Formats: sequence, structure tokens, C-alpha cells
Amino acid sequence: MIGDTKTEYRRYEGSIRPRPLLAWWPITRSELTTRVFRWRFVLLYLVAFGPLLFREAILYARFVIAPVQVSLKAHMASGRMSRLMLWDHLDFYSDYLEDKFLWTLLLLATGVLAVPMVARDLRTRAWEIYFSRSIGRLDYFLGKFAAVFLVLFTLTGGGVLCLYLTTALLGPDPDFFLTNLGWLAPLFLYSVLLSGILALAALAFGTFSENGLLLAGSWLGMFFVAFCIGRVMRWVRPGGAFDWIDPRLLFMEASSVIHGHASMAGFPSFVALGLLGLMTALALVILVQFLRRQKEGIG
Amino acid sequence: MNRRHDVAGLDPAVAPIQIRNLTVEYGKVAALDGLDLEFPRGCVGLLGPNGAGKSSTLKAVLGFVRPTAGRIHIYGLDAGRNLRTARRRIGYMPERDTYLAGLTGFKAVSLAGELSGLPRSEAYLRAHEVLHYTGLGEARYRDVEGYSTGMRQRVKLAQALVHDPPLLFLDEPTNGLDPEGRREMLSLIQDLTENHHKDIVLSTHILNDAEAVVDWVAILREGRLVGAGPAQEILPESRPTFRVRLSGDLDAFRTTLSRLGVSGDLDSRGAGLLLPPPGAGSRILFQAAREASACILSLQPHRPSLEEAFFHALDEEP
Repeated sequence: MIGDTKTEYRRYEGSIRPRPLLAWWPITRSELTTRVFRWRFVLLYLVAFGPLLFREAILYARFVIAPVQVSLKAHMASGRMSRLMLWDHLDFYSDYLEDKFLWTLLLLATGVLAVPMVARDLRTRAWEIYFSRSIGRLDYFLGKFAAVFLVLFTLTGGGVLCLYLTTALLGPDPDFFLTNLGWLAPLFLYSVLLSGILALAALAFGTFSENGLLLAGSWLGMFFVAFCIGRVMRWVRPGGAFDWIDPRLLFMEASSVIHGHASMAGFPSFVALGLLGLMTALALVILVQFLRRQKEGIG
Repeated sequence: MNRRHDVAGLDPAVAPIQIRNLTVEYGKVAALDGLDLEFPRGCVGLLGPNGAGKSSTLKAVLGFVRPTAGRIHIYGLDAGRNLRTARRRIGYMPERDTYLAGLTGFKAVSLAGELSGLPRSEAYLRAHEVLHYTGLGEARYRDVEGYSTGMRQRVKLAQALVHDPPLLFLDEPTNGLDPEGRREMLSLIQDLTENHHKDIVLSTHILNDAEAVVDWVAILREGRLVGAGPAQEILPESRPTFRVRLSGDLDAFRTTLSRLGVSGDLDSRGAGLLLPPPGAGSRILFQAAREASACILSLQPHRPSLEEAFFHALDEEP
């Protein structure tokens, strides 16, 4: 038996203050403190912000450390470096969000955090604890969703904000911050769209099995297969008519619509928006049906 | 007047749970069929064989299923209309191995408290207290997934207690416990009822557990209430039952048994199960044997199964 010193039971003399609109927040906070604030996520953030740090270092070197300016000019002859130096252009920021590197990290983050989140509750029948409390299915869903969304949004919108603030602080234009403030709205809108849809899809995917590891692997594999098929189709049918098979390209097209850029995809923009809408609706239906089944299966 | 009535506005005279004409259907199958039940204060046993409707009753009270008809009141509050408020008055300890994975005992219990409406700091304080109370004080910073079965039962009880509800639903609380753990769990239940005035609904299939702690029982079968009342009257376990074998004039013995108020019967070989009237004990069987000039060859105290108890309560053959 457990060696322990028992204490007497004490009545709770304080108040019970239900917060109907924020009933989901303890779930979010619990997920963030116990799963996200761990070394592997710290590492993920460091990796995600690596390119940002690099770009910011370039900016710092370019405009603050004057002697380096000369050597940087030489480097700017290369195409990549000159693209990196377009700090005073909106593309500079939207490129960050559409980058393959960031996309891969987002998939990793959802695979590690979001996909096993529901699977774990399924395995341990945590519903019986959640739903015997003063919360409903919507609160449970919001609690989990908000945790994933916040992680993804800090990786996307947070990164953009860091970049913007660094440019404002270190760049040569003292009015940069106020002049280009309007850029942030579409950038954040796209970040919300990207983070929201990915979070929903990952949570819905997590309802398919109790085995979180298997699910995480399948999740990453699914996107890899979609990427490969998209590449093969591009090779078979040049022109990009089948680019919509790769979800990353769907999001890129949505980004073009939001930022008012010319479409680079080989399919109409409404197809991208329609497929993303369908993905969202499907994820929501799966989650709602799943939660209904779980709740009724308790006891 | 105690705190729970002050704070939650509960009327101490009102029954913890009142169920009126409750019907729960799964498709065309009625799990509960017009159930009327009023639980008194104290520790109540909800008993019944598999499929009797115990789980459905619990699910309906906690709002997991929507009843087809009927009303449920928790301390006078209509649970159908005020489900979240009603749930704050209930602490639920699930039967199955249920836990919040990846959390320590402390985090799991404090999260349960917050979800029940406790402010964060209070939830933390209560989590420490109830974990100490349930005997997990030293293990509270360990991951729940690494707990033994007994420890998980305790953490489930701690989660049920964290918001100090006046009513506790304990579903098979001694499941998977060793004899010492079982004794300690029953002792906690007894302490909560007797010293802290908790109203407890104990759903169990272990008659010994029910016997040890409940004051009142409700027996369900096929979605209907088939017996309810004080435990001593309903459970034959409270009255000693004896398996006997005797030789001699069986008919005379049967007649004497009937006259002395002993129920039960003997087969043609003189063996059977006999239930003396309340307070009589085995002595009355020897008296009957003496009067009928019969000889008792063997007499063993008999501990009936729960199923037998039900049928005794119904005066039916198992």
C-alpha cells in the first residue's frame, strides 16, 4: 500500500464561480503547460524561427553594422540573398508563411501535438471525467482546438510579427512601422486560416484511432503522399491543373487571394477556397459526430 | 446549517435525487422504463444485474443521455434544465480505468476542480488536500499513467471530491483493489458519509461492499425498480441464511419451520437453504429440528450471491 500520511477531509468554504464563456480555458492551459512547454516544442520553435533569426541577422548587419554592408552587397548578387533583402516589400512576409520549411514544421507540430491529443483521451476514456463536469462538448472541443491553434499561430503569425517588428526597429526607414501597419491584417488573416484549418483537420484525424503514434505517422505520410502525387501529376500534365492535390498549394493559392497577388496555381482560386472550405466542414462534422458518440457511450 | 446549503442554496429537507417517470431508450430498446425513484440522504446502494439500468440511470442523471421522458431533480434542481449547475453538485467516480493521460495526479485533480468551476488557486489548494485525504499525498506529483490500479481508484475519488460536492456517484469504487485497498476505500466512503455528511450513490455488484457501507438500497431489473428500502430489510445478507442438511421427518420439520416463520425449503434428501426471521439466528433451526424430532447433519452459514439477494428481495426463485 502507499506509504502516506492522510489528512482529514476539509469542506470547501470558498465560492464556485462558473465561467460559461471560458469553461474551455483550463483544458487549453493544461494542454499548453503539460505538452507544449516541453523541450521538443522549444526545439521546434527554435527551428521554426531559425530562418527568421537568419533574416533578422542579415537586416541587422545590413543596416546597423555599417562595415558589413559592403560585403553583403557582394552576396546580394545571388538571387536568394536579394530575395531575403526585400524587407520593405509585402512578399517578404507572405513568403515566410508559404515557405516549405515552415509548412513542414507546421505538419510536424500538428502531428506531435494535435493528432495524438484526441487519440489519447480516447484511449484513457477521459470523456467520463470531462463530461461529468460543468462543461459541454463545445467546451471540450474549444479547449483542445485553442491549444493547437495557439501553437500554430505563434509559429506563423508570431513569426511574421517578429519579422515586422525587427524590420521596424532595425531598418533604415523610421516610419516603416506605421506606414506598413496595414500589411499585418492580411498576414494575420492568412495565419488564422492556415492555423485554424490545420488544427481542425489534425484534431479530426486524431479521432480515427486510439494509437497516437500510428496516427501521427499516418498524418505526416498522408501529406507526403499528396506532395508526391502533386509532383508526379505536374510532370505528367504540365501546367499545374492537378496542383490542388497538394494541400500546401491550396493554402498558397488562398494566400494569393488574401494578399491580392496574381495566382500562380494551375487551377482557379475558387477551387482552392472551395476545397479548403470542404476540408474544414468535413473536419467539423467528424469532430461533432465523434464527440456525440463518445458522450453517449459513457457509463 | 452546513455550508453546502448556505452556498449552493440547497434545501436539506429535499432528497438528493428524485427521479420521476424516467424513460431512456436506445433505438427501440427501453433501458429505463418509467422509473420512479427517490434516494434518501446518506449512502445509497444502486444494485442490479448487468443490463438492469444502473448505468443508464447514472448517464441520465449526469446528462450523458437525453431521456425520452421523465424528470430528474438533484436537490430539487431540475437537472434537465440546469445540467451544468446540477453537475456541480455531483462528484462522479467512473467505474472504468479512466484518467487524464500525461498529467500528474495533482494536475489531473486540479484540472477537474477548475472544470467544475473552482477558481484556479482554490483548485490547486483543494487538489493537494483531497489527494492527501485519499492517501496519494506523496505520489501526487507522479504521472497518473504510472499509478497502480489502487492509486488510480484513489485519484478518481479525489477528482470526484475536489469541488466538495454534496452528492457522490461512486461506480464500482473497489474494482481491482486488493483486500487492504478495498478496506481502505470502504473506510473512506464510510468517513465521507458519517463524518462529512456526503450523500453517496454506490453502484456495485459486490454485495459485501454494499453491505459494509450502504444504509438504503434500490434494486433495478430490466429498467424498472423492483425493490427499494433500508438495506437491512432488502438485503438478506443482513439476515443470516443457512445451508442445512438433515435426516428425520422432513414434512414435520417443514411444518415447524413454517410455524416459526423460517422461509426457504428442503429437497427430498433433506438439504436446502433456510432463512430465519430477523434476529432469530441459527438457534431457531435447532429448535425446529428438536420439535420435529429431526437431526441436523450439517449447518453452514450461507452468503448468497447478489443475484440470490435480488430474488429474495422479490420473493422469486433464481
